[in-house]
Amino acid sequence: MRKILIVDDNTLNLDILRDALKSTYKLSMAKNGKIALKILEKNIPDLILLDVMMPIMDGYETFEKITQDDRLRGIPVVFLSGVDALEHGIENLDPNRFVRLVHKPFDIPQVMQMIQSALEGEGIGE
Amino acid sequence: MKIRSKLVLMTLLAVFLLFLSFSTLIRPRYEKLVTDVYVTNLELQLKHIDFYMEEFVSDTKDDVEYLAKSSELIENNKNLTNFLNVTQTGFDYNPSADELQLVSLFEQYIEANEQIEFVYFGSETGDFVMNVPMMAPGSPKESLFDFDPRGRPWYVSAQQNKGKAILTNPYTAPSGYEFYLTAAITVEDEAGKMLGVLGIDLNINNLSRYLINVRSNEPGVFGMVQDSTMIQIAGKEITLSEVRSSLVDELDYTKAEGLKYHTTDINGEKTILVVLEDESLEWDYFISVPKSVIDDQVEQSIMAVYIPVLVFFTLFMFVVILFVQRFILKPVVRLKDTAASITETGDLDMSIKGYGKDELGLLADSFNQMIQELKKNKDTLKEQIENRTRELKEQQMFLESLINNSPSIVFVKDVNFKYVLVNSAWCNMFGLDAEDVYGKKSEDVFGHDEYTHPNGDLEVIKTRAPLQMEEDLLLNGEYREFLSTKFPLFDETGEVYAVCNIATEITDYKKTQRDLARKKEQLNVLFDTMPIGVSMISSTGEIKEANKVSEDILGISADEHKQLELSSKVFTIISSDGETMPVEDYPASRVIQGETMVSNVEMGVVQEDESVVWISTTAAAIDDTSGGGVVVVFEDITEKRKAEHELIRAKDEAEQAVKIKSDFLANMSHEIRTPMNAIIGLGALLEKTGLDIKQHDYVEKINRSAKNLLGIINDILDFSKIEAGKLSIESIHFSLDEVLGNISSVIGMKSFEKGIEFLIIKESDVPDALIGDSLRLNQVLLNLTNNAVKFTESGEVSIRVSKVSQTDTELTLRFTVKDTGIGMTEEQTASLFQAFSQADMSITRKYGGTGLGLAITKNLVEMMQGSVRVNSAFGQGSEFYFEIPLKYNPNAVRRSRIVPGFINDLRIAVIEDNDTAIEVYKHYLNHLKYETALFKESATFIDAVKNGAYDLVILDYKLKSKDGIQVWKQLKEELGDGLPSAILVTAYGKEYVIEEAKESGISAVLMKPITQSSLFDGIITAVKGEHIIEVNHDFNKHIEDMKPYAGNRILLVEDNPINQQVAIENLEAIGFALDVAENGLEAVQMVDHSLDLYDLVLMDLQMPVMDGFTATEEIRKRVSKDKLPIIALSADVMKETLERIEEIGIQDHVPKPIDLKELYSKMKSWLNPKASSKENLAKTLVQQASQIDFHGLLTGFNVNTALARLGNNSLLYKKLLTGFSDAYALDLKETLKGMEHEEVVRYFHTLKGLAGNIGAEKSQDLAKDLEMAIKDHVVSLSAIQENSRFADLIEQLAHDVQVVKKCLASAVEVTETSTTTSLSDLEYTSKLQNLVELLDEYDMDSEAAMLDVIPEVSRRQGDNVSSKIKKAVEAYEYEEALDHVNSILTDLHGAEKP
Repeated sequence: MRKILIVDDNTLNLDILRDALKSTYKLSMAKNGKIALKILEKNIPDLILLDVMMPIMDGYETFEKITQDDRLRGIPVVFLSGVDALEHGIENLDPNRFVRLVHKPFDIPQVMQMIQSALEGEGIGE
Repeated sequence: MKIRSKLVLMTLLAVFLLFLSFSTLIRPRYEKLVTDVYVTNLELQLKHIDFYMEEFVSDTKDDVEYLAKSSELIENNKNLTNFLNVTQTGFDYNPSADELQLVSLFEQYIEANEQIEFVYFGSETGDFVMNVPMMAPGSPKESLFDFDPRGRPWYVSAQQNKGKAILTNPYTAPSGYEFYLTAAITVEDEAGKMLGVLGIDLNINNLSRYLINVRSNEPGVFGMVQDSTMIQIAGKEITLSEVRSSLVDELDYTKAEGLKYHTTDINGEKTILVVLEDESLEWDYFISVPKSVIDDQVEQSIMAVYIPVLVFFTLFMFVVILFVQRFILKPVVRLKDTAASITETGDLDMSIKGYGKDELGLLADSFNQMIQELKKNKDTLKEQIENRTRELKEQQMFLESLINNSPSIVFVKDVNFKYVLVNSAWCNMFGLDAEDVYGKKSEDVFGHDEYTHPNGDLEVIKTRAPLQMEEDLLLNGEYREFLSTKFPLFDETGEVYAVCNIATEITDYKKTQRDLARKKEQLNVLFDTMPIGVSMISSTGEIKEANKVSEDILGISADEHKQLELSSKVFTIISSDGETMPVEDYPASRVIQGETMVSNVEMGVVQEDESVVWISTTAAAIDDTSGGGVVVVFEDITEKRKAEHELIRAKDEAEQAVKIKSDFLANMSHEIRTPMNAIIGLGALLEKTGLDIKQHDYVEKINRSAKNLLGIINDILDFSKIEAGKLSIESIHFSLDEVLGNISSVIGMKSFEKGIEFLIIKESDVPDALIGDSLRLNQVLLNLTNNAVKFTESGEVSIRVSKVSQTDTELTLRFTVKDTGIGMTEEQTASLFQAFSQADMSITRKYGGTGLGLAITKNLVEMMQGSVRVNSAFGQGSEFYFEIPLKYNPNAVRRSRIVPGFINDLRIAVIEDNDTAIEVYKHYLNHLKYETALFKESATFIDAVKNGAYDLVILDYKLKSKDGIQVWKQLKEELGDGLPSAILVTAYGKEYVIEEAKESGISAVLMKPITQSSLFDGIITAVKGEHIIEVNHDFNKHIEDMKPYAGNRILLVEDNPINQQVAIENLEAIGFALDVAENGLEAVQMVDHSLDLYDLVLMDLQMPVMDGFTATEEIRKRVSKDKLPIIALSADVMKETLERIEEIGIQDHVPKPIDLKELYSKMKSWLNPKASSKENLAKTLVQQASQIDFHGLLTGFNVNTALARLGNNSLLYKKLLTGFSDAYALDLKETLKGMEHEEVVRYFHTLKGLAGNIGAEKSQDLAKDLEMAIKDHVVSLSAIQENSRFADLIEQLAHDVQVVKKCLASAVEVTETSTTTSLSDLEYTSKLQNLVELLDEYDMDSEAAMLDVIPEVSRRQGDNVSSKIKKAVEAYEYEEALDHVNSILTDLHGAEKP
């Protein structure tokens, strides 16, 4: 089973994603970036679902830290954002990085499909 | 002077000659004399010494002879100590009596002869005794080891001269430091046998002391020579040495020649040697003195004579010189001085006097005569010169003053351009002295030529003609301009010898000239380039000048323009209203007519093509002194006018847009709230239907999300309303306690969940009954408090209400919401209240939120005539506060003041460890006038309560050390009887806390935050000793509160079926009788039919057919307000709407989406309680509490619908199921046999109903079909047995009954198994460890693992722990959960291995 790390501070979102993905993937859940980094120290997932707005350490900061970690090179990151417009934060991220964006409220099949395509290493797209 | 010098030289020469003769002739003779005297003195010394030595030696020899014959010595010399074999260790000194006698003999001798140090005796056997003990016992001197006296020099010498006293040569003592001569003699017995030798030591060192005295400190060396040994004394040092042969030779030579003394070289130094031979002792004494000593003496003696002679001679010569000086030199010098003085001063009045008739006197007389002649000539000459000089001076002064007073600088240079003359103006200008520049060129003075063009001077020299020119002069690095006049000066031969310059500075003049020119140019450019038309008009109306722009604006050339007059009809001028403007109204004309200035007159210039150029014209009079006339300026304002018109139109449009927006919002509000109402309402309903755990969880989350969404929508709508100015502030009676209570119930839960202390402090002088907008106040406080909780992770959040000021009818309250959260920086606070912004973007990212809350808060507070302020310290917390004026009713009775008698004079002890909370208690309890003691520590609290006779204790549940219940239990144990009543205060009402409190005898439980009134209620409850009452604001309380009103009949007028359902279900659940009207018309009809039936109408306002307004008006025609109250239900809460509904007779209003609490409280105020229904309702509620989960057990049944229909009463459902399975477990065919037609129809009808009740829908449908078929005679009674539906029904019923039976059986089983199974320690540990592993990985399976083990945790560790773990895992707080589980594991292990 492929492993996915879900990082989101909203328990409801975690609930929904867990229930949607649990039969297909092995999941770890982190409530903020700090915890996510702690998990990443020990376990390297196949994909990271990363919320943008979080307390303690937000998505951008977390992403920055992930980028700096050589072990995590090539691990696709899918951002979950409730903000309509692409914030400058995401625009400024490393363009070579395998980044996708899912807008909230998300459509579960769409998320599933995006995870699938990211795992299969298809190009960047929505 | 020269003569005197010669005299002195002569004297010095004489002295020198004297000195020379003295030293060469007298000295040798004198030296011989002195040496002789000295040597004689030395001889005397030697003789003296010799005499002394001879005496001493002979005395000692006598002594030794005498002693040798003493009987003691001869008799007692046997038992003496022998040192021959003495070694360091093996010797014990034990002198015999004989020996001691000898020692005493010797000592006596020593005492009598001071110079003698030692007397001793050495025997022939080698024994040895001495006047002093040889040694201290046990410590022999090293020098005595193996000491044999027989080998010593004194012994040997004496032995050789038996019976005769001898004197040894000097020798060194065994110690090596001292020198001795020994007088020794053999000791013989009467028979003449030699017994030994007696010796007396003459210590040479002692002897020499005498010698040294004789010699005192004389220079040179004294010596004593015997054979080859020499004792030498130099100064105070004495040495014993071998005699050098050279010295012996010298001594022998001296003795042999019989010389008195002998001069020789010793050690390279000339030395005088004096020798004396002692015949008897055979010693030679000598003294050697360095020759230099004698030379010194010679020198001293000579000087003693020589210096007095020299001094006398010198004095004599001096007297001679003085004489010559006084009588010869001085007069000559005076004569010379006078002559020199006359030459020098020219003073011819002098003469020389005071000389006698000698040669000098004659010389003086001749001199005097010569002076007289000279004097006469000189006086004549002097007079002539003085006259000429005076004339010249006057002339010069005239010229000088002429030149120096000239303001122009004047300077003259010679043909080599060297300064010859400069005047004082020149000096002032350059800051130089005239003297310093004369004879110098300007390069030398200034380092450069002072003129930039020095050619002028050259030209004057060349042309020999005056020249006038302007030139620049460099002064202090800056050029100044001058007008110079240069002219040549001629000498008598007609040659130019100098050039005179007279220069006047014209710098300022030139500058002014240039400035003027520049100004003029600037003005010209400005005139032509400024974007404003300008024309000059003469006082007679002629246009004198016009700039370029004016031609652009007016469309005619400037030249054409200039030829015009005001009255020329080239243009038609219109005023702003479009009328033609007469010439005399032109601004210029008005100025000409006498006005000083006419400003900004709008005029339209009609062009040839009929277009109009609009100008704004200003005309001003020019002063007559400046030529008079009018200046007219005008600006093209065509564009500006256009823009203004545009603006006005845009404004109108914008206003229109705002109106549209506001209408849109009103509409939106309705459109959004209606579906939201459905979502929230249905969500609430759905939650009550029998859902499995997961479904229930989902629904709960949907509901929460929907409420959040509604909150956000409300914020946005509120803000839009505020923006559109559509929000108004009400002024109604309200209870402040109620507002605070509401907040406490909303926030209390949240703060409890976050673990934050939440406090409400209402100061005691703040009244409860106020008039204002409680809704908005509530909103503001909720908003601020929500924020505070949101941004606070630990610590406390408090609301404080205090009174600022008060009049008879109005007071100002200050509300402060304070937290200990993240706080803000100054920049953050600055932008805080702007709409759509939070403290900054990073906050939004971390905490979310719309950013509208504070903007709304700010606006609402401002609308309530206050303003929100904030104090915040980054990282420490924030404090928001606002002051608003509120009206109050001074006559309103304050509830808290009516204290029932039985709770007067209570003594109360409180234990609470939060400082703010302590303050709150103090405040409230003091206000109630109770004697109160507050404690932070449980130990002191318990002690105090034991000794203090308190009536009531208030215990905080969450204390640091132990919880409140534990404290209470301890108190109970220690106190036994006489326990006070107790109130437990807890942050949130967990069942088990309340349960535990109840069990342990606590009379009341209060929910935090406490308010004045809840505390008061709690005290009453506790002291009265009634059953435990949970005083809080929970929703259940609202339902509870509604109980008495059950039984009232309500008419619900609502077109939306979903809303209908929500209302029906909820109201029926309470026990109201409910009728529904689909629209207004129906409602009116229903009221018509049963005028007295309804107790209340709930009226939707927007409905098809007939809306709520019309319906109400119709109803009001029939029933008055007090008979039938109407409450409006509407999403439209605009002020206009509310005013209108009041007008038409609707008493109250509940906004949609409907908040049940609000609906209930509004209904309560319009209804009367109906006692009868109370019992039923209570029963229903109890039943609801014990539900059985039938889901999954009844396949094919629609359990949800069934349960919903039964009001979620699962017990009832179970009863129905049991009844169903009992009734239909039979043969249907048999049952129907013999039944009449009617009976069969009824049978199927009943079956249909029962099946429907339990959700057996298939059976229900089949029964319904059969019922219809038989009722309508489609199927005959006889044919029913063959009908396929009938067969299906039989089969379905059998299946249903079986399912139900199975379900009923397993329902019991499930409950049993779940309560009895318990795990072994091993299983428990392994399950917990599994959970730990998953949690550590943050694995999603953690929840399943947790659910697996949690019942056991609950059983073993209690609900408290299990609920903490469950909650943490469900909230994905894996780390927290991990801590809890790990601590359980630690405890387990600890129990296993103590």
